[in-house]
This record gives sequence, C-alpha cells and structure tokens, in this order.
Amino acid sequence: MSGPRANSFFLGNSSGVSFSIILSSVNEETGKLQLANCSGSKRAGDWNLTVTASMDASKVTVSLTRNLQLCLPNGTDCCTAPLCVVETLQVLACRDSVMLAHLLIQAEIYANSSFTGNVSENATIIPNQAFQPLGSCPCDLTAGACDVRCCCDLECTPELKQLFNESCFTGVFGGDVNPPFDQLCSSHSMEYIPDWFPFLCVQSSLNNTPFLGYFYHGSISTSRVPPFKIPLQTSPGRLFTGYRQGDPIMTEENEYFTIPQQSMAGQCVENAPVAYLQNFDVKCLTDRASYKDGLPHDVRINTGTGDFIEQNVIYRTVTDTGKFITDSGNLHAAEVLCQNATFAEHYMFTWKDKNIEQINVTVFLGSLCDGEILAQRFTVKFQSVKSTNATELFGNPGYQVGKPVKAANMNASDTFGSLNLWQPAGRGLCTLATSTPVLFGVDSFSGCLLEVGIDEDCSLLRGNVTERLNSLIQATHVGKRDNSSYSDLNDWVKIIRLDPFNPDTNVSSGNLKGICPDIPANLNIRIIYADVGAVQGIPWREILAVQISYSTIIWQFQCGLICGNSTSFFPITASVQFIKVPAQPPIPMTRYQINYTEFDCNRNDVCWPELLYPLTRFYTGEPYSQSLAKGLVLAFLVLLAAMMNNPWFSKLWNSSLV
Amino acid sequence: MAPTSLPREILNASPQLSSLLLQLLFYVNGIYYIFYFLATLAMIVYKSEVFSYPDEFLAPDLALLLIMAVLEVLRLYLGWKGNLTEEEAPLGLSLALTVGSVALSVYFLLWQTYVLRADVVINAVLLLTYGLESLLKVVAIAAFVS
Repeated sequence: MSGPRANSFFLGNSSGVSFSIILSSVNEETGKLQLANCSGSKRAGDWNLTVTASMDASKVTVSLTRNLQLCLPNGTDCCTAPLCVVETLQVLACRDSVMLAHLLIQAEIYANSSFTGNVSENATIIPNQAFQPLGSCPCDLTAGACDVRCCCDLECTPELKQLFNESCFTGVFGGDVNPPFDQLCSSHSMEYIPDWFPFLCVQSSLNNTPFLGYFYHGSISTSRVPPFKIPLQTSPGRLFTGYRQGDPIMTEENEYFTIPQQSMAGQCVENAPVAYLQNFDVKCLTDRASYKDGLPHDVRINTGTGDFIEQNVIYRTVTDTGKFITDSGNLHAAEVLCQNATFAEHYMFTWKDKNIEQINVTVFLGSLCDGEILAQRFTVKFQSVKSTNATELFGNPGYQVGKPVKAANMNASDTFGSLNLWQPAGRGLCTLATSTPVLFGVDSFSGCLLEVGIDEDCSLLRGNVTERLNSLIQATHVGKRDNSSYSDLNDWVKIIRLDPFNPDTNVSSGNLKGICPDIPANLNIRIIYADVGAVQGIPWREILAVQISYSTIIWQFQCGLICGNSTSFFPITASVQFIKVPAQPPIPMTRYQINYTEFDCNRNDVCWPELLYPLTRFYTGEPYSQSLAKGLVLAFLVLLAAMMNNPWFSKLWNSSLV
Repeated sequence: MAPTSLPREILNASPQLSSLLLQLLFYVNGIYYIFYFLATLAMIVYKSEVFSYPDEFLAPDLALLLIMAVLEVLRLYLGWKGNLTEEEAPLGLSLALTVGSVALSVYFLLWQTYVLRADVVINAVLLLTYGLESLLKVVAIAAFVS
C-alpha cells in the first residue's frame, strides 16, 4: 500500500463489533511493541479509521489527514524533513472488550516532492553550448525539486537517491548523453576487433568529443507577417487546349469532376476524378446510416474548349431492387426508416477529338431502408460521335492495358466473337458462373467447380469439360490492334488451337470406378504481343499470335473411408498469359565479333580492358574515384623516384646541407 | 723538431667544438620527422573518413601540421648550420624554434580532435627527441660562447 490511505477487510459477522485505532510506540531499547487494549476511538493523532460494514465482511480504511508537502521557510502544517511520518498503528476489532482481530500497521511516509509555491523570477543562465552541452541531465525536469528516478539530478539528496537507485532511467534520458563509442580504446564492447585496433583506437577522453558545440548556428531571420488569405488553386493550363487521354475532367469551378470509384486498396473513394476516355464500372457498398449524396447533377462540365455544358439527367426508379440490395437481416421491426437513395448512375460522355460534346446521365433512384446493404453502381462510358457501339482510342490504335481483347468468329454470320474467362459467383459452381472478357495485359487465372458423380462415364466427362472450356472461346481470330475492323482479314490473327488428344473409346479405364485419365481440365491461353511503336509517348502494342492449349490431368474421385454415391467437386480452370516479345530481332553478330575473343571479357580468361584500370572504367570493383586516386599516387611515387635518381637532384641536396 | 708535429699542434690548438652527438641527432630527427609528417597526415585522412569530423575542426589540424613541417625544416637547417660552423646565433634561433615545435607536438598529443594511440606513440618519441636536442644545443652553445 502506498500513499496516505490503506484498506483492509474484517471477515466475519460484524454486528456488535467496535473498531478502534491506537497509536503505539516501539520501545527504543527492547524494540518491543506494547499490545493495545480495547479502549480506543476511531481517531488517533493524524490518523482516521472508517468502517463500511456489510453482511460477511467489513471494509476497514485507515487514512492520514495531514499535509504532506515539504516545508517552505515560513510554513506551518507541513513536513520539516523529507521523511515525514514514521509511526506504528494498531487497529483493533473488539466485541464486549474481547479482542477479535488485531491489525498492525507500520507507516513510513515521505513528503510530496512535487514543487508547489512561488515561481521565481530569475531566469536560469544558459551556458554557452559550444563548451557545455545544455542537456547534460535530460530527466531533470523540475527545478528546485528532486525528480523521481532521475539519478543525475543534482537536487536529489543521497537518501532520496537510495530509494530509487535500482530503477534509474537508462540511456540518454537518464543522463548518459555521451555514451562511449566503439572506437575508444577503453571500450570493450565490440565483438569484432580489427587487427590494427591497438594502434588506431581513439585515446582522447570522452569529455572532449568533437561534437561539443556541434550544433546549428541559426542566424536571425526577419519574420514575415503571414498573409491571411487562402491561395486559390491555379487551374491547369491545358484546359483550354482540350483533353488528352487520361486527363481529369474539370468542372466550371475549376475542380475535378468526381464520381465514386474503387481505389487500389479495394474500398470506394468518394472523390475520385474521372479520366478522359477511361471507362469504368464500379460497385460501392453502403447502408442507410452511412449513405452520402454525391455531386449534385447541376454541376457544369468544361468541354475542353472553355465552354461549359450541362449534364442531361434522366431519373428513373429501380424496378429490380434485388440486384442492388442485400438484406442483412438485422432489423425486423415493424417500422423501419427508409430514405430515397441513388442506386445507380450511368454516365455516357460523347466525345469528339479532344472535347466533350454531350453528357447523358441516367440515375436510378430507390428507397433504402435500415438494415439493408446497398451496392451502388456507377458506370462511365466514353462514346465517340461517329460510332455508337465501339469506343475508339484517340490516336493510339494499339491495345491499352485493361481494355478487352477484340476477338472475331469468322465462321459465324455476324463475325462477333469473344474471349472470356469465368467469373464465378456464390459457391463457385460452373453452372452458376458468368463470364468476363479477357483484358489485355492482365494475366488472369480463374476457374469453377464442376459437380461430378462417382460413376460418371469418363468420355462423357471429357466431353462435358471440353465443351465448358470451349464455351469461353467463342472466336476463331483475335484482333491485332484495338481498332481492327471486322471487314479486313489482315487485321486479325488466327487462334492456334492445340486440341487435347482425345483417346478412342476402346481404350477404356477398365473396371476402375472413380478414376478418369486425360481430362483436359485446364485451359491455357497464351497471347504474344509486341511494342511496334509509340504514339504521343504511349506505346503502341499489337498482338502477334494467340495459342490455346489444354493441360490434362487424372481425375480421381475424392471420398472418405467409404465411397458412397455422393458427388465430388472437380475444379476446372482457365488462365490467360501475356508474353511480350521484342518486335525487332537482335542485331546479328558479325563474324569478327564471333571469332575474335581477344578483348571480350566474357569469353576470355584475361580481361585486358580491366588491367588498365586507373585509365579505363571497366573495372567496377572499386569506386572510380578511389581507383583514380590510387593511380595518381602511384604515378606520383614513380615521378618522385625518377626525380631522386637524377644526378642533379643529389647535387642540389648536398649543396643545401652545407 | 719534426715538421709533422706542427700540424698536430696547429690541429690541437683549435679543438673541435661541434658536437657530434648533436649532429647525429639532427640527422636522425630529419628522417624521423619525414616519417612523422607522413604518418600524421595519413592518420588525419583516416580519421576524417572513419569518424565524423565537423568541418571546422579538420582545417586547424591540417594547418597546424603544415606549420609544424615548415618550422621543423627551418629549425633543423639552422641547427645543422650553427653546429657545423660553430656559431651560437643560428643555434640559439634553432633553440627558440624548438619551443614552438614542442608546443605543436603537445597539441597533436593532447588537444587534437581525435587522438589515436599511434598519435600518442609518435608524438612521445618526437618530444623525447626534442628534449634531448635542446639539452645538447644548450651544451653546444655554452661550448661555443666560452
């Protein structure tokens, strides 16, 4: 227990029990304590006894009621010495003058060492920091009083220091502002002592480090009155010259036009600017409590020429709320709070060259109630004035990363083809999976689970899997460029198909049930592309070839101890891989370069260029400046030796020495 | 009287006052000082690379080393010449310059920014040499004056 209050418990029935406290003294000579009798009161000297009684136990509190501040010169009711109270108390619990319990308390209380009193007007003289570091004892925080646990504090008397001697602050805060460093001769803390250490260790004392006074000599600078105005954000100058692909779309007030989008981390950000010619389709989750309205639709947008156009907004109500709302099922109260919310916003920007011609917005409204989670959908699509379906890249005919790969089916009547991958939903079953187009430059891997029974016929299974995988590839040709037109066959490359080897049905797996070999479960799409140029700094990428192959596996029914008639889940996967090849083959080596290996460091044992290393930069083992310095020193020494060997030099030397 | 005794008398009439030990010491001092200068320079370069030297402390150290070199050359030349020509003026000037050299050597021993153990060793040897030289110079001056 510390401080002027101590608690204890008297266990037992406390009816008829009287508690008393008595100050007792210890006999100086014998050291014996005189036992008290039951005649006492609830006050003794400066001590107070309070009892809170309850059924089976009573709480007994002993508290000190005197001031524990250290005495000022003319103070009264205070502590004259740091050790303020040294007393022995006895607490007795008596019933009818019979002692039931007896508690012995020995109190040794020191005065409060926090500083209270007048603040002196004298300013402490700060010594010149060039010769005396100011922070020699950083834990000495109060002037005129002892800081607890600060062993370098000069205001602490030795008796006080003895109290907290074991728990001093360590390190720089505790006063060790100049810890010895490894290179001192007197330090033994280094594990690895270099061979030359006895000669090149630092002998000078730690008091004389060169950092004494090594601090910034700040010069006085004239203070400027801070201007009380908020600087206006300057507009980017290119607004009036039109938008390039990727530029943010600006509004009338020179701010970014924002639509909630998904950030890299995955969550939705409210204020994400919209980039010119960049389509997106995001879903943001929100519920009624955190629903926030977006930008008002009366904001006018800069077209790129300096004109401003308004958004043409069409409001509709949502018919099928199931696509947007999932009931989290939290509240089933009779009355729930509902409010109007935007379920989806579809923006259609019509553009021409570098300007925006028209903005059409379709907003779907609905009512959002408490306990429901809303998946807001925001789509932005950029449409060229000329075509209505395809979106053309301005200027750059090649593929951009993230755009869907164009595919065509030359066998079909409408020549429209697609290359897709699965987008599984729910439990990941193939029957429920939807497909998503293959995006250029995005290596992807997707799959789904097929439910197969144990006695499935292997050839039937093979056919089923192959058919499912083929449903992803609804094309025979893939476009070389993003603007490949369907009428020109030169714009397309034929898909090279490596069909799986279908074994004949007479090679059966025998009577083995649950094992099927050679199931083409993995589809590999390899797309080879190259950089064939650049348009306005953005590389122009073209697809050179596409190959589709199947990897076969042996499928084995997974069952526990007993194989019942249950079904097993069988994963089938599809992956797409983009491989970049250099468009130009490397320059062929000449016959001279192939045969003559004299100066080729890779194929020769002796690397001649590296030998002349101060003069040439081939040797990279040392920094060039070091090797240059070494070369110069060598040259100087050679020069010196040559000079000294000259006979007129020795004549000069002799004549100067009389 | 044999004529050969005359030259000996002539020779014995003016005894050699130049101190051989002092001359030896000058020669050894010259060679040792070249080593000392190069070693101290190399150690200052080493210290400036390995330890963090505040900029304004490196310049005084180097400057004092160069001043010491100049002082040493002058001192040794004057002492050498004075001892061989048996004149007390150059020798006295050399003694005065020795005081300056001793002060600089004490600086490199004690008050340098970083004093390495090798610094202590070579400065101690140099101080010893200076002490011995000074003693011999005083003796030589006394011999020349009287």
